[in-house]
Amino acid sequence: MTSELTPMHLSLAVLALAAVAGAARAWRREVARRHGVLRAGLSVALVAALALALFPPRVSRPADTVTVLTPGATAADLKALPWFATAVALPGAMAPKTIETAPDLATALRRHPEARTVDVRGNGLPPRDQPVAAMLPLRFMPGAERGLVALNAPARALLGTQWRLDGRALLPAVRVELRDPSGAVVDQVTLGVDGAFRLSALARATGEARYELRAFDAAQGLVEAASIPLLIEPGEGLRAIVRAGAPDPELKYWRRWASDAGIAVAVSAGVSDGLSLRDGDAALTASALAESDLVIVDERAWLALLPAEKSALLAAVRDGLGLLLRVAGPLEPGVAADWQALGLVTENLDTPSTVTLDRRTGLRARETFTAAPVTITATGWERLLEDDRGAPLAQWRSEGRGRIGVWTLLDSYRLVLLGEPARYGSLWQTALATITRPRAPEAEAALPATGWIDERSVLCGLGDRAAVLAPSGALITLLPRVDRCAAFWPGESGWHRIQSGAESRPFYVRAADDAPGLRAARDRAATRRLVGRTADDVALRDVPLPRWPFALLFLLLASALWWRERPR
Amino acid sequence: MNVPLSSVLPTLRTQARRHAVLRALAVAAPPGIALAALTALGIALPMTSLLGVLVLVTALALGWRDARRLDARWLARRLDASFREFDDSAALIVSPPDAPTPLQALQQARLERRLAATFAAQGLPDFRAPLPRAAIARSAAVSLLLVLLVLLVLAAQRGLFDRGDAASIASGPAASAGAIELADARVRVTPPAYTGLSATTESSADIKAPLGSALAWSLRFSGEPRTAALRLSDGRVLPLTKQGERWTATDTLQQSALYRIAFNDVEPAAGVRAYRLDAVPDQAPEITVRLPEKTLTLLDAAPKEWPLDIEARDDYALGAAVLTITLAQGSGEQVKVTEQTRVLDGGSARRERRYRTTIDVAALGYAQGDDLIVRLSVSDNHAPEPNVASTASYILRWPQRRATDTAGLDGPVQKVLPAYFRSQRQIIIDTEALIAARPTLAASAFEETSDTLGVDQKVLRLRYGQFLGEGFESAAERAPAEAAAATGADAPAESLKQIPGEAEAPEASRNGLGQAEDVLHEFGHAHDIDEAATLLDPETRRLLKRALDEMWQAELNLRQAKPVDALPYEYKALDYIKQVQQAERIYLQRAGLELPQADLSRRLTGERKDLSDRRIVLPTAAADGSPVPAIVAALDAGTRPDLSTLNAWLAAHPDATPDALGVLAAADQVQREPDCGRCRADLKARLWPLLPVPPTALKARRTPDAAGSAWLDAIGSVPR
Repeated sequence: MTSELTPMHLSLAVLALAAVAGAARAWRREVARRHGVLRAGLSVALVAALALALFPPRVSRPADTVTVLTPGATAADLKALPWFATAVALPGAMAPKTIETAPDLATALRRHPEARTVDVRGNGLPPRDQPVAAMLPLRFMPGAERGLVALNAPARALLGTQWRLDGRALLPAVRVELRDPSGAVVDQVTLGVDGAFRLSALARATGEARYELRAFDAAQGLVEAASIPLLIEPGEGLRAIVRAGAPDPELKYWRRWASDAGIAVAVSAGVSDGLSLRDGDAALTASALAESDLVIVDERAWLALLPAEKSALLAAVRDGLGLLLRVAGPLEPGVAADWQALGLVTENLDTPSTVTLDRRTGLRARETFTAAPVTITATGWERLLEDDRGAPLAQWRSEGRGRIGVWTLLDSYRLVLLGEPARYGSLWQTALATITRPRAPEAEAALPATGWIDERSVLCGLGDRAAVLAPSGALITLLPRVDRCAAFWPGESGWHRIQSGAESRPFYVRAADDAPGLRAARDRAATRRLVGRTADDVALRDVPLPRWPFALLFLLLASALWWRERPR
Repeated sequence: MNVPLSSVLPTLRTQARRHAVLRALAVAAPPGIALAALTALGIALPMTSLLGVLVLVTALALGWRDARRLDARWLARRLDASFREFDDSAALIVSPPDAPTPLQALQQARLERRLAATFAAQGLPDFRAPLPRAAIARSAAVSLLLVLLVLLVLAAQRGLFDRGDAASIASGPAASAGAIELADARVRVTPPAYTGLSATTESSADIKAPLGSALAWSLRFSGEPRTAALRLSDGRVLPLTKQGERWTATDTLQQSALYRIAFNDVEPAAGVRAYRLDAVPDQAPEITVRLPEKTLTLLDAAPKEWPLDIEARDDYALGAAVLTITLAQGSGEQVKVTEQTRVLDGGSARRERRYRTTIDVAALGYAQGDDLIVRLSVSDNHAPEPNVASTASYILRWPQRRATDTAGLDGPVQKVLPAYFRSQRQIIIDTEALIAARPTLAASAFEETSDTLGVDQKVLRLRYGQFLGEGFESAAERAPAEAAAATGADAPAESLKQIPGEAEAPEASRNGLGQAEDVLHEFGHAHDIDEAATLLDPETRRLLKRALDEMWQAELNLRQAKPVDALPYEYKALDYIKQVQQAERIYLQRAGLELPQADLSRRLTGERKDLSDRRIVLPTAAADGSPVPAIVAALDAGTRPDLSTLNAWLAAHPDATPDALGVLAAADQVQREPDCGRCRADLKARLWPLLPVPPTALKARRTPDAAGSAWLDAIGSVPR
């Protein structure tokens, strides 16, 4: 209390005078003494209530926590807060009008400098507030997870592949659907026990494509929609030499696919002793091997190889060539011995085994395939293809600079007969891409991760004059820093292009209502990572008591006094 | 007046009371009227009606409270104050005591006398308070003010005070100086009469109407062109005639198209907006068969009746439903086929009907070994020709126990077509019998039998026609034919049907024709492909063709109940068939297997001279000439796509997309505004399903960086 006369002092003085005057008047008015005492007491109490309502007393309470309400905070969260808590609502949070709003966390902390801890409720802090929150101890009570919470989709795919995505979605979603850029449904599945799902679609044309994932609830209402941006790229031409022991359907369909996919194939399929069906020159000479990227040899063709050819082959593999050993039946002892030298311990079985590839290829109908009647024990070899039960169907290892693979699936061509040429192609594409001769890497700059509109994203790998072409045609100049990265704040959603020098890279910006569950999951995960130490000492703060009880008391006392004093 | 005062005076009180309520209502009237007006106009609806009710209730409550105050004591006071004659004792009259004292009674009598005279002279007093004018005026003012406030707020909300909105409401691109545009369009669409739809007037130039509708355009332009015409995307030009202020044209909608308005005979530029004419064709009815559940129903025992339950649905109205019942009796060569039709009644609903009937199988003469085939054809009411939809043929079969038919085995040498040969002879025998029995038969029976013979002849003709690669008519006729073939001559039968992939099918057919699994065998023949059927040498083919012609003439005459005229044709057919039977060779072709000629001199010698490798060439996949991939690539690269060939390609492939007009409209949009990113994305999305399925592309792995390469080299040198 200072010695100055503040308005508070003046008002209190006036109220005290009024109390005394009122009490005296009340005392005099009454005839009976006890009535007089009662009346006087009431009027004094009345004035006291008014004084308290106008200038409520302050109490000491721990006030070092600022409760930040983020989107996803519910009314229950708000009710659970104590009355003296400071609550600040960030943009997007559903909070009643009485709660203070701040445009971001830094502003809220500036307004409450005494805050030592931040208590976050809801889905977590957006990326712009995460660096600020990293400076303070943080507590986080996440809201309930809902809708699409995880999505793992490729950013790029090759033309013609049946690319796959998986993810997780929680209640109220019970079914997810994948739509291609034209809006047609290409795949759908009911969610599994923990909400996991796997979907696949065909990449039909090169360029930018936007697929859409929709989650529906039990009443077929739309729960959430998420865009899946995909950049579809054309492939490269390869050269392959195939030596088959005999023509079989697997060779036939493989040749068809390889020829369509741009692989120049030279085939030699043995027909009889010394006779073969040829296409191109399939001789295994050092020069031919140096030019090709891949050699596929059957176990029967291996038997017919000359020692010179075998050594040339292995030398070329060490130099970078890819060799795929295809097992189509039981192995002859000579072949088994040779391959043992390469590292494969084989054992012939009586019958071929049946395998299923549903999960691997994403087939929706259960189909069985056949694996060769050979068990291969290859220690140290990597898995190239597994069936649904986890048994290896194809394996590889590196030899020098090249790689050797072994393939035991007999009838992958049945995928084409089932009407799924894209899945057949994807299966072989992933297998061969691992084994072929490596090529020089392109100066491929990474695509920026998909961000949302109105969120700052950082684009790296820029040249001197970099700009972003928005979907509406606006060109936004970027200012790259020394490390060749620039910040960009997208104002539109859709496919943008970074133009830096001569190259042009596309990236996708999601709209505000696109995949809200994913955004919430991202913020939740990031905020959880920031939860750290708690403050040691607890700061106390003087907080005024709420006024409304005193005002209510004033009202009641005034009504009581009026009732007593009203003219009858 | 002799009415006692005590009965008259209370009426004053009730009067005053009523009036008090009226006064309260009068004060509440202006806000009540205002609220009622707002409710009637539909403004701020729930609020105003609630407030109105509230105002009424409050007014009544206040009025009632006021009225209560006007009780007996008040009346007495008023009377005392108004009339001195009462001597301040009006209470005695108004609320008389139950047991009056003598003094009170005396005073009462005095008052009665005194005041009777006064009231007779002056009349009864009026204690009704006047209407509170001031209060009413105040309430009227306040309610008027509030109404004005509400209207002001609403006007502001509706943006009537926004200046400059008129400019933004104007649609379309800014018109350059002098360009004439469509200001108003009214199109009267009259759907065809049979659809039952009423004529409508559309207020936009994009029209979606049933196929065949009459369209009458009435357009108003922003300028005054000399001539105007509608140019459609299919090449037609509709000139518009000026009638007063508006330009009119009429046309009938025959197909979907885009159209543009051309002024002054100038071809509209590509940037001018094209409007859509969507013609919705009349679809044939959709039929769902509930009973029978399978197309082939096999029986074990004599059936009593066969229930049928079929639903049909049409987009406009259903027409007649005709059930065709075919009974194929007999087996082997003696198959008699009778056909009858029945009109089914499914109710009188316009668009959805359900046909339920049972076929009395026994009455038709159904016995073991017979086939009963039904098929329902439902037509809609499309004019000029109704669209007819038919169900599949549903067969009721009671398989005959397999009886060995020794007819075809004439010793070890198989005659080529013995079974059929006999059938033609049988027909001749039957025809002669019919001619002989003509006097004894009734005319109708004669005609019927003749017709039946004609049908037999037709069946025979079709069976022979199979060897020339002609189609079969129905499964019923085919199945007994195959039964005959299988039982008649085993080896030739098998060779006659040796189409690759079905080598095992005759095995199955021998076990029991008519098994459900035989569907492939029954329906799997490609009868309309010449190469798949039995190949005959040209001379034999000619003979067989002639035989068929004769059979056709015979059938014609038999069906017209002229067996006498049919007989010579039948004999001639028999002649030709005999000649065919004696033909030398019948070749059977196996599609897909072209075995080379065996060199008999070299066979089984083991010589490997002159053997060399064979070239197997894989033909490259041919592009099917679709312009779609090129357009999609151009859209993606951001360059101008070439859309000129798209129209032609879509016309050539009508089944490629259900909404060809949408694709054309999107292409038109892209041509109009080449820089509109959204339009390009929309066209790309529409063209996406038209893209052919591409082969999977492949990408090699990348070399590891320097450290990785060094590591690989180091490991490679380690012996395994």
